[in-house]
Amino acid sequence: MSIVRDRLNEIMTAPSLLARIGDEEDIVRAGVNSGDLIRLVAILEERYGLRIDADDLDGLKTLADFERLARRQIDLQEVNTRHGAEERQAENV
Amino acid sequence: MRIDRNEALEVLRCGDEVLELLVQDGLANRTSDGLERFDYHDLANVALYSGSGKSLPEAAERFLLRFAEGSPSQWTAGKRWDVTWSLRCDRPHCDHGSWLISLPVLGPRSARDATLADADHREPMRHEGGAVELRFMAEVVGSQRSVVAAGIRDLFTQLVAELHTGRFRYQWMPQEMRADVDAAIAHGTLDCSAASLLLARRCESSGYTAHTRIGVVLGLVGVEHVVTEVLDSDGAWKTLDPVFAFLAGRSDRVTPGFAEFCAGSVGNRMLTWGLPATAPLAIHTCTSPAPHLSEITASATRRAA
Repeated sequence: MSIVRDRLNEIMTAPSLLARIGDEEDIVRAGVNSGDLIRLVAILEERYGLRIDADDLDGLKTLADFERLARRQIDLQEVNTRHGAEERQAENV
Repeated sequence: MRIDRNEALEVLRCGDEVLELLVQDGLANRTSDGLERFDYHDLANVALYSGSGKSLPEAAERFLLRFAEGSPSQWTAGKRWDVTWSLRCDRPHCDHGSWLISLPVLGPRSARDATLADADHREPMRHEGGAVELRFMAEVVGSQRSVVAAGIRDLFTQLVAELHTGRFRYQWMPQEMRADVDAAIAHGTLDCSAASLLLARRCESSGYTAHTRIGVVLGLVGVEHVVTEVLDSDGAWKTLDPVFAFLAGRSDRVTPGFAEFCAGSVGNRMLTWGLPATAPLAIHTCTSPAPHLSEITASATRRAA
């Protein structure tokens, strides 16, 4: 499952274009417009609680870049959530 | 630029009933070829002041100012940008004509380079055809500086305050209005171009040497931007960015201190041209001087020290 492809599929005015874009292809050169990119970043932050700063954005060129960033942050969130739960459990013992 | 109802809903990100209420309350629209059409800039400005938080222009403003949420060192550390600049004629299927393309300043600019006279004066590039894509690398290094002359600081502070109080309303403006600072003042609206032209004019009226400079804020989505450059009492050119200072003031995510950074400092994200606000970056001529679409996108790596 690709988080980024799924969200872009919801957003794009021409979703059929998305199917033709490879994971490692430059998405702007492939035709994804600026409005779709802006909305993608907003949705990733709002729906998944990601925090994408300007330096992160500077390095993003492909769907795979976006996916790696999203997965990295989601995995970190899950680790922090588990760690917090373990700490609370330890305090209750 | 006129857009249809579906495109309008995409910009506003609201329901049809909300758009209908806006039309009833005076949002201008016109029927053309049986289709209801809205002015893109009218919609964008309604969105910017809607407070909905969902519209595309509000998201674009947050996107643009994202870098201002970082630390001051992130605003100035040298960056090496891979830039792609796409230009194409606005007329569908145009495959002829010619381009005259002004080239940006590509190397690191020192504090002393900030004059149009010193700027890169390469001849504009010529290209035949309906579309062209340029790819190049640019190094941009920022510098944190303050304005020394109290008079310059007062003029900057005054304009930013006028944007906050509503004496002037910050708005997105169509290309043909951006350089007409007198019309902008008469309407009480300013964008970065009109604001920088007004600030330069006020600086000159107060005896300072000043001009505007056009550039693009680099990133995944490049945005054309204009700033004022003024010769300070310490002999150094300082960059004044009243619109970014204003936008910072109305954001709760921008780092405190960024508005002050805009009074004198040079950031590491703006690719500049040796051109003022009123100059086009590119001119396309096919059957006659033609409007064209220009898109700049860039990715960055940290510049080696």
